[in-house]
Amino acid sequence: MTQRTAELNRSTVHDMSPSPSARDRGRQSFIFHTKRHLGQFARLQLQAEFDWAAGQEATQPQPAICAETAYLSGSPAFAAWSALNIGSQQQMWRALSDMVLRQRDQMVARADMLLSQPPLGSLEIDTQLSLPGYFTDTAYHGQPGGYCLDDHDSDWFSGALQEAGGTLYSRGAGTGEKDSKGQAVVRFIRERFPDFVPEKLVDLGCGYGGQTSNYVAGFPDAEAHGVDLGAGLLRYAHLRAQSLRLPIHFKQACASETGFPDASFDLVVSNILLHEIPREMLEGVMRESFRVLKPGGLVVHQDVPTQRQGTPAFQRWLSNWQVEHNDEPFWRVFSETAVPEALVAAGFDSQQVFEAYQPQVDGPLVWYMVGARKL
Amino acid sequence: MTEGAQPAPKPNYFDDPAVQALYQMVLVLGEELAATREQLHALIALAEKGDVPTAEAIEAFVPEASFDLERADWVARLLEPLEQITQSREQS
Repeated sequence: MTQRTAELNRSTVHDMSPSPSARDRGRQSFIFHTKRHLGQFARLQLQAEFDWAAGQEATQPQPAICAETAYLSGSPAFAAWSALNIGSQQQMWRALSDMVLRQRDQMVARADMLLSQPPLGSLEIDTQLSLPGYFTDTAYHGQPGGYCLDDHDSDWFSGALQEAGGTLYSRGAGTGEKDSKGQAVVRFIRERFPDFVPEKLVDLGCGYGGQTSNYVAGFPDAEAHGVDLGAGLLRYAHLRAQSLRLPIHFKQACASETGFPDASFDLVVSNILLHEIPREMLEGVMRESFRVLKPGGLVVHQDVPTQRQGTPAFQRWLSNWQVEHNDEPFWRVFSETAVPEALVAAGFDSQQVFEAYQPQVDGPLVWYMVGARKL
Repeated sequence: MTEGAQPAPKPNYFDDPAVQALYQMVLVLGEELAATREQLHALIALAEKGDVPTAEAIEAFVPEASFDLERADWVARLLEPLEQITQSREQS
């Protein structure tokens, strides 16, 4: 494993990475610093507004705080913060789309070059796959076209946007440039299951393949697979992996119905998948995790830590803001779902189910880890 | 093939919808000025080195890491009036 591969993270550059011009850099740094500033404003001033409104609630006939819609009535600070937050998110997607579209011809040429090389992994697109309505109807985080965008049979645009948008959004939210959710899962597995070495692994809802890359880096002798519904995400993931010389097999399929044989994997993982799917799909993912795992295999799903006990009311309310205002329709139902119960219902032994909180590799947050060992 | 999903309509946070539009305009202006500052910084740096500041050279220019402090300062100054909103609540 090369040094480059061992350090895959938010700053990884590959042949399909768009190159920012001075103009792109100026636009994106403005968005980055705006997001950072608005985050700081929320933690200080907006929290004070929230606490003030909460204190008024007992004496007001109409409560100022609406938890359902994450609204803070009568607060000009909330209105200004929300307008700027939404505006900066829309600005982000426009700036990144402009950057990618401007150099589409060069990126197409690089894609052709990568596809002309002997493949290390593979790509399987299912043109007959019926995409679920929730997936085709959701433009996650406001991403133009969403994850389902698929204009033509070599379209990788949604993958390029997902990687660039995920990076800028995370960095704006306080995450460092060396962060990696996949590395956090690998660290968690090494700490909790030090003797566990998978021979074959699958990353469910792998998207642009950024985290799948880290499972290859973390378990270099394992055969690695990635599954997602988005054809455009997978085409980009395949090109990205080819550029980084990573042997990953990508397949278009639903995470709840992968088509792999029973008991075919030692390790099943997912990264921030669960909060982006409906409840019945989450339950289906747990059943599929159980079905494709070999006895002795391990499943680890990583996601946002919204279920942590004792989360302050303001933080919960802020999470709900994402639901109502930033195209995260399934975040709340995920927060209200007992994932361990879904794992047990899927067939896992309750004694084998775990929940944990793992620090980010490079950032101030913790991730929620939930999973089980299959007996 | 799918044409893709569209983002959900966003709420209006102000009694007068023109205010929300004004916030968006301010962001676009701020972004545009940030892009111009980036290009101007490249232009000056190239000129100081005696290089020909062609459009290509300006767009390819990568500034020193410390330039990020100037970018952050620009955003901080632009958004500083937000704090006045909460201060007015405290004073009332």
